[in-house]
Amino acid sequence: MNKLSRRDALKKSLKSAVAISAPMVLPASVLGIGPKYTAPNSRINMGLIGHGKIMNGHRKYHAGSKEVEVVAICDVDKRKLDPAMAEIKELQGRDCAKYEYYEDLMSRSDVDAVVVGTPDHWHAQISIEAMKNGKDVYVEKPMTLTIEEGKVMREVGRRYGSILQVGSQQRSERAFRKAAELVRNGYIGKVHTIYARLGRFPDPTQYPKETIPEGFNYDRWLGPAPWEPYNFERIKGDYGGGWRRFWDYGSRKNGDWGAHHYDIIQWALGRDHTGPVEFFPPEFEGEKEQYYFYGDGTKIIRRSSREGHMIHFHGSEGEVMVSRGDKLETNPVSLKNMVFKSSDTRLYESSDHRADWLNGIRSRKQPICHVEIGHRTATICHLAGISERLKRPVRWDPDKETIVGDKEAAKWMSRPRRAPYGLLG
Amino acid sequence: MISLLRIRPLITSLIVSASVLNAGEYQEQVMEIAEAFSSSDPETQYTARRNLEILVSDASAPKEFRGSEKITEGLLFALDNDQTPREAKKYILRQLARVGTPEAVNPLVELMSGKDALLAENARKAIESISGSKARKALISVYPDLGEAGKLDILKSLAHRGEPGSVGFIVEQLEVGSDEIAAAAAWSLGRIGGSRSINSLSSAYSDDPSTKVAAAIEQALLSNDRVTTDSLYVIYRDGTSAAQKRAALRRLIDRQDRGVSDTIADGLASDDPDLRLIAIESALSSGNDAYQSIVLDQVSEMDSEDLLAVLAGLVHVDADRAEEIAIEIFDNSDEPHQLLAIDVLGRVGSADSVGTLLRAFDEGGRAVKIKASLAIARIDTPAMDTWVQAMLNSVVEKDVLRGQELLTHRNVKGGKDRLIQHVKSGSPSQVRGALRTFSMIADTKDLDLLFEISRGSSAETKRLIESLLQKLGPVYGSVALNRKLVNLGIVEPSEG
Repeated sequence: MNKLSRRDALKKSLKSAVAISAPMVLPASVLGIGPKYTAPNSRINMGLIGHGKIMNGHRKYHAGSKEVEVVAICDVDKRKLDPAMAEIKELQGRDCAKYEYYEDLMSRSDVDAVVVGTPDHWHAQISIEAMKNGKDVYVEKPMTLTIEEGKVMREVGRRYGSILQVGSQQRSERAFRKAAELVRNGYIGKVHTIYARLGRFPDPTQYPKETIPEGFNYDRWLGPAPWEPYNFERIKGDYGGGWRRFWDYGSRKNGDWGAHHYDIIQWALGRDHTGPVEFFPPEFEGEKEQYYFYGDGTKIIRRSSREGHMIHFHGSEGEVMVSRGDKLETNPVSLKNMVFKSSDTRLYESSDHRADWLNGIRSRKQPICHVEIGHRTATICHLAGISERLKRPVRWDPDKETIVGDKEAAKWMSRPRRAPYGLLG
Repeated sequence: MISLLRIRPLITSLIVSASVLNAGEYQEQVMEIAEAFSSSDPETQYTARRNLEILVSDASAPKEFRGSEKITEGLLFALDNDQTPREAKKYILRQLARVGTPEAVNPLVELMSGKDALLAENARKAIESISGSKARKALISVYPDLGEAGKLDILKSLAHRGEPGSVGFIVEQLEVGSDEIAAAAAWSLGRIGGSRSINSLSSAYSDDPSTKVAAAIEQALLSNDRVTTDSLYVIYRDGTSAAQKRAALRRLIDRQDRGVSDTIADGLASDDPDLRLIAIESALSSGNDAYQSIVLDQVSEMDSEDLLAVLAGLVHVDADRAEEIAIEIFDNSDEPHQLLAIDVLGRVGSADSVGTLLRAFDEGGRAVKIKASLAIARIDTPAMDTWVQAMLNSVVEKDVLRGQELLTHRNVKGGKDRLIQHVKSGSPSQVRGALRTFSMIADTKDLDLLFEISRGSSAETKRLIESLLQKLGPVYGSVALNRKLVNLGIVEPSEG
């Protein structure tokens, strides 16, 4: 203590600086609970990072909310900033600042929270920097690109007490919650098999080099991912492909849809703190699809076809089938309409994923899909991807969070980061 | 035994020799794949890339003896070959980052120092991933010749490797480097950890560094479990941002240091809302009764904003105390507080909360009513069941209707039987209320029963029941019921 008190001189200057510029730990907008009441001076100041397809909904929601003020936006493609800003101005009646570099947005002490809507390979680094700067985070799914990133995010989130919501928003849909509660409470007996409908992307490919458009910072878009020549097809946001089909920027369908469906499976089974222990690649020993086992033998089978429900739980005494659009089917059919007993386990209830996060920011309560949950779900996506790429089974110890008996596969838990984007943690 | 021990080195040597003899087995395959990279056809290029990945994956699988060594040799052979296209070299380097052994370090250092920036960067990443001191020393050896950007990359690489053997070198950079270098060195030391890192960071922190470096040191210290308690107090008091202060207090609370109680009390008394909220949030989330009491004992003195933080933090507090505080705040505050208080009561409430929740359900605005219904559904006390049952059995019609409505939220014993009686009663409002509830909770058996009742009911009751059956029958009704409904023309025959 004595030794460190030499910083007293510095302390004085810092104290005055902090008084002016420190980010608000709990924003004044804690007053804005409830749909009818939002004090004008108590809005959550929001930064929106990455203005591709997925940000459209976030932008409209937050700029149109009385509880939020979008104060800054950021994208490596300058061409996207002006239209985004125009929309925000129209919705909230005020301009906001625009940035090419997220670090500039992070350095603003008046930004309370950020939405990270970039491609997956940027999720972790930006989220971590945000948390270290005292900001709360809504990060799109899957939360990470690698297992290592998830571990670091979890640790940083714990260290800073950050409120982090992962955009696996099916948890906030009624049908998925009811499905999970039916499964969790044993209404279909012991669950033995679960189908998750993920679909399939076209295989990745190589594209010829094109000229980088004016205003697009391609090097920055690539960030920590390996250098590849520019081609629009590589970087475009496209739910049927685009960057999503490349392993360098995502986990393909395992990350794209798996991050939603595996998330619900974990929730329903009460396994948010753990995960499956064995992952098998597609076309392994005659089985067409990928499959994974939990330690108790419960099997998840990935479905590449588009048929059937998004998630289909098979239990010893029934089935639960659930899809987006509030589609829930059960066998026996009466389960669908039953009311739970007060002794049943009820799951965290959220009917609006973004609102749940905003409430968490105000209350400092972790939201429905917090960092640990996001990390565990993303881990399933990544292990499935590792098994697929290595074309061999991967065994996983969810307690120690290590790949067992395959040190080469274990190296895939992280990826080398391209300079100068090596900072993580 | 002795003879076995004597021949063991010989056996090992034979195995090693055999594997060296086999080491060249991948050279040809790698070269063959590498050639395909020169194709101008993107599909062919991608296939080559995937084939290389599969070759390396198969070669280094656990069942392969010395697989990584052998495939590394094959990859290095192609890397050193002038015939190998540059594009192939790029992907070979990426594979070396996966499986490369220390034998790859020297050739990689050469590439890392070369003029081809793309290959140099990929070589650095490969060296970063290769385990063993040889790779670490190689990274350190090239450091002096690099510009600032290159030096930052090396510091990050050393951090990712996480070896204590790098600490001495990184400490030097913390002490003599520019602000950029010192901040990166601080980050690296935080990531590697260990007592030497902590001591060096603490020492540098006490030496009045620039704000940029101080912030990096604070983050690095906080990332390490062994950070000293003294350092934590200084960061809480003087930290460069609220985020660092909060993290420091959270860590002090985790350690239950003797001075923490006073620190929390000082925080609550502060004029700085940030410090007050940090204190409330950290104390309540600690799960420690003593720290929590420091906050909860002051609830009656708190302003609106602080109370919301308290309500949020009650999730961490003993159920009885949390319930008591939530009821107190509900009774004395406005809607935003009431909403959070109801949440708390639904989660931890006992018989004592029943009256408050029913009042909220009856008298609250729309948002309060919705919250209250959720809490009524979830609250874990038989007293709530008893209340709902009493309402269903009441002679006061208003109570009966309220009980019917609550049944859609809470499943109480005998509830459906009472609803059936209400349907049979003929009282128009009770019939409507009961059927409204049934529309939310009826199952197959209930629908059968309602159908039977409808046969002998008044025209209005019959009409209402048939309207319900028309809606729910095809979804939840039995086959027999649906057949009857079709015969009576209440529902259309299904196509199947």
